[in-house]
Amino acid sequence: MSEIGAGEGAAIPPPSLSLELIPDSAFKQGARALLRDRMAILGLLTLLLAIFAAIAAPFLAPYDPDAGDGASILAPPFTANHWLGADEQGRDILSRILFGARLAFPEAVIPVLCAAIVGTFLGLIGGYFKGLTGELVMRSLDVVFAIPMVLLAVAIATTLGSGLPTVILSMAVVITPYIARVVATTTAQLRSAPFIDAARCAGLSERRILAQEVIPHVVPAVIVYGATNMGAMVVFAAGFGFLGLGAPPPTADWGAMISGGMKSLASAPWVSTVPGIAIVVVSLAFNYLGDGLRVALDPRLRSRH
Amino acid sequence: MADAPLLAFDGVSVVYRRRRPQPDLLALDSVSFEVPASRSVGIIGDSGAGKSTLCRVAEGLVRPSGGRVFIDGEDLAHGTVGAWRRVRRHAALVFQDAPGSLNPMRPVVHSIGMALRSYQEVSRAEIKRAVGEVMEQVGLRPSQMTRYPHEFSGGQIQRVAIARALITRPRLILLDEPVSALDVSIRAQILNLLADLAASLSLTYVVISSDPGVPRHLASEMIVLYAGRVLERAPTDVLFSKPLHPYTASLLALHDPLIAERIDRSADAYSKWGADHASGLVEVEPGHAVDMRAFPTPHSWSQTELMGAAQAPAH
Amino acid sequence: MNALPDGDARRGTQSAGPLLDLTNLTVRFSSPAGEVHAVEDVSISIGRGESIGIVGESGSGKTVTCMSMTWLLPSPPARYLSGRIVFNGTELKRTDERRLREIRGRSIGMVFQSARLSFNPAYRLGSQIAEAMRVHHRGSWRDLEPRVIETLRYCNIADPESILSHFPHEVSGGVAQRVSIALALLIGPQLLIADEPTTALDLLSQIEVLSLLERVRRETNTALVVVSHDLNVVRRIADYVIIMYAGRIVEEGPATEIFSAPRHPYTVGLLASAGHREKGGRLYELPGQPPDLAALPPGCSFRPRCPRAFERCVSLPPLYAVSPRHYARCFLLDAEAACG
Repeated sequence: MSEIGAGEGAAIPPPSLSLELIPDSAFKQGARALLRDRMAILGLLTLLLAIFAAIAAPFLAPYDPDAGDGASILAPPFTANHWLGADEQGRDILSRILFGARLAFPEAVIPVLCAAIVGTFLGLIGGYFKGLTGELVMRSLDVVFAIPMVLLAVAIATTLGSGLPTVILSMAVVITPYIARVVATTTAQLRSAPFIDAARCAGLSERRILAQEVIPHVVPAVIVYGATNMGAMVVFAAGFGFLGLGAPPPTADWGAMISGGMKSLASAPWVSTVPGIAIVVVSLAFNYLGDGLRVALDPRLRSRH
Repeated sequence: MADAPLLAFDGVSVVYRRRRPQPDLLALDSVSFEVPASRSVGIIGDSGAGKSTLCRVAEGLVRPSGGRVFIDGEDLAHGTVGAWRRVRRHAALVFQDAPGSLNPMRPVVHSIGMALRSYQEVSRAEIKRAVGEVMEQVGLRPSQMTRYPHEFSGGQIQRVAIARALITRPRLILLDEPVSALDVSIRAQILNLLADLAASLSLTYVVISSDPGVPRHLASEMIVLYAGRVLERAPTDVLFSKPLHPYTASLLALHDPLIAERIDRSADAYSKWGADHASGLVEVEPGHAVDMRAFPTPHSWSQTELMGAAQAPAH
Repeated sequence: MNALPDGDARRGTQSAGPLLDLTNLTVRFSSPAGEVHAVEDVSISIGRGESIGIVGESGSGKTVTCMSMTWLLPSPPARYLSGRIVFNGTELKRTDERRLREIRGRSIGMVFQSARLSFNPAYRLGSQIAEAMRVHHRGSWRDLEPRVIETLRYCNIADPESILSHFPHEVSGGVAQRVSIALALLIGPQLLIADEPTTALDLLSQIEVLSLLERVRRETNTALVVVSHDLNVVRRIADYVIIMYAGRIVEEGPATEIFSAPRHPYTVGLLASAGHREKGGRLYELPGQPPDLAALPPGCSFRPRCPRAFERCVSLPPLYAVSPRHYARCFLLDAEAACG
């Protein structure tokens, strides 16, 4: 039987070659992963463009968005006067789209930001602490879950009147339990994860575990959930506008624009369709960006190209 | 206490209460043993025998329902959170699920250096230096400390887990199934590493494994656990040459066919076993104790048949 | 203990020649990391009543090989570059689903690593066995049930009637595994393929499953293929052992020769690593780790870890004959032969 010994021409091989190189920092890895996702970049650029357009609306819009011109009622698009046509009151649709963006973005972003902060806080408590505190938090969230968003908006509108604050508040309240639930589920799973036990064995106090181990695990999930939800918020906000709960007329609001164009849908479809397209585009942009972020923020996903 | 054992269990029991109608689960049943300095102990037995529970009790993650747990002579069975935090730097645990014991969202330097941060105020540079040093001790390159856990192979992750346990310079390390998730060809590397570390750093181990061959290389004394009970306890070479309990003999025979041939298969070898024995271990010869109560065998097999089935045909 | 009941499938044509002849199997998978060479040019011949053990670690290709014996791998994502299977004289083509199902139903039984995963958790064991049998065996459940009960008893399952009315999660792993073997025996007594049959089990169940497999091997004419990373399991069951590494067969031969006189450095290393030294002595260790199947080194895949590698090893060695049935894929054998 041949004996194995240190043979001639044999070298103890180094560890796997891919680990020879010094790895990049987390930020660089994440940025590179995001740049690799073409749809996410497209989404990001679209959003940046749209935000820029919203900010610069007063300079970009050819007409006053609230001023109707009797002569241009239901004017078709692709004409020199009205690139995107005019609505049932002769107002330029392009200008209204640009100004409408100034409502759409705050309505999408602010509720999610508020909900993210409050929801994460509540979710951490609900998920990490068993016993009375946790249960109390989760059951209260369940109550909010049960409230339909539109009814809540109507209720708030009777006190605050319809308008931007109403919409933002209603959406923030309704979205909070969703985020809280995502956080609570993740946290509850983590509570029994081996690396949390390992952290205890390493002498970390529960508070430090929460801060150093649980929160960094949860934050990327919230960011991704939030980003994708912003897309949904655009649609919901439009829904409020459609129902007349948003900013009062004649303020340009994408949802209100759709509802305004309903009567002339057969003869002048662009009045409703153009704002509809704007909603879809922005919503999709948020979604693709959210997807890209999901990969960029998770070290396990991003190194898999 | 200078010469107190590093770890000692005295009649430790753990009962898990479950929702009715399921009966309570007796995970550990009056387990007693001692781990003196420099005399590593191996604990073998099936999965579900209570080995992991034992680990968790020794690390203070689970409070025993009865009995006493001594670390360095101090009874911590009902110790406070603070007391356990204090002793953990002297008794580290390498988890069974090594990849799972590392935070996947953080580079390994975070996990390895974690224990350092929690015990004292140390600068980041100091942590990096300590982590680098300990990574070299386990055969990893310090330059890789900023990598994430999923970028390492199975064997390397095991080394990371060992490095993490070493960072507070403990005297006792509990190893829960240290090589069971690894390929056969990698296991020897890790076992040799552990043996080298024990020698160079004066470490004492408690090695827990369902494969008897694993603690064999590292431990001076072996304990056989079944359903939370200690069945047999003996110095390593004695256990492997003269196992007394039929379960031990089967376990060893399955693992090493050469042992199988040496085992006494005659029916009257176990005639002394029976239900009328008082509970607990009986010291049959110095250092070698066996629990002689009746042992549950598969439905149709007597203990002799169990032994016979564990035999390997010659090859 | 009862004898295994006779099945009509066992009275197959007793033609000369191997039961299953697998030739030149090559399987690749595409992955983001590159093309994974799961199995390269593997040929296995299984004789009637023969018992074969396939040993390998993760990435060795043993599971892909054994699943490919009946074209069980979904393709895509698996890509079969080559491979020919002849079962009982008939060539099995990948495309002939009907014929494949017939063979799988009547002649080849498979047992997977986790019996719990091979059963549907929503249905009782009895109905799953009945369904499997009904596909290929005529007769109502009333006719078939006695045979099922007998086979379950043969597999040492206590109270077979009540087991049939249990759900898979209600029985222990060992019992589930033996039910799985019983099912395989009921529908495919010519060849039984078991992939890691004892890996997920506790000691007592391992002993029970192993002794059952040994019994099947001793008392029936069923050919057995057992795939495992555990050398002890293979040592007990197999007459003929095949060692795989990085998708290729690196050594094969009668079990007695392999365990007493291995010739390939990997086999030697594997046996030595699993060896039994006393405390204090170092275990023989194989350096490095199994290779990345998407980036195999040229030539012999074991070269980076081989203590005896030399210049010639940059090209792929063929299988050299050590003895009439013992082969090893290593240039050392050629060198030795040249030196006399």
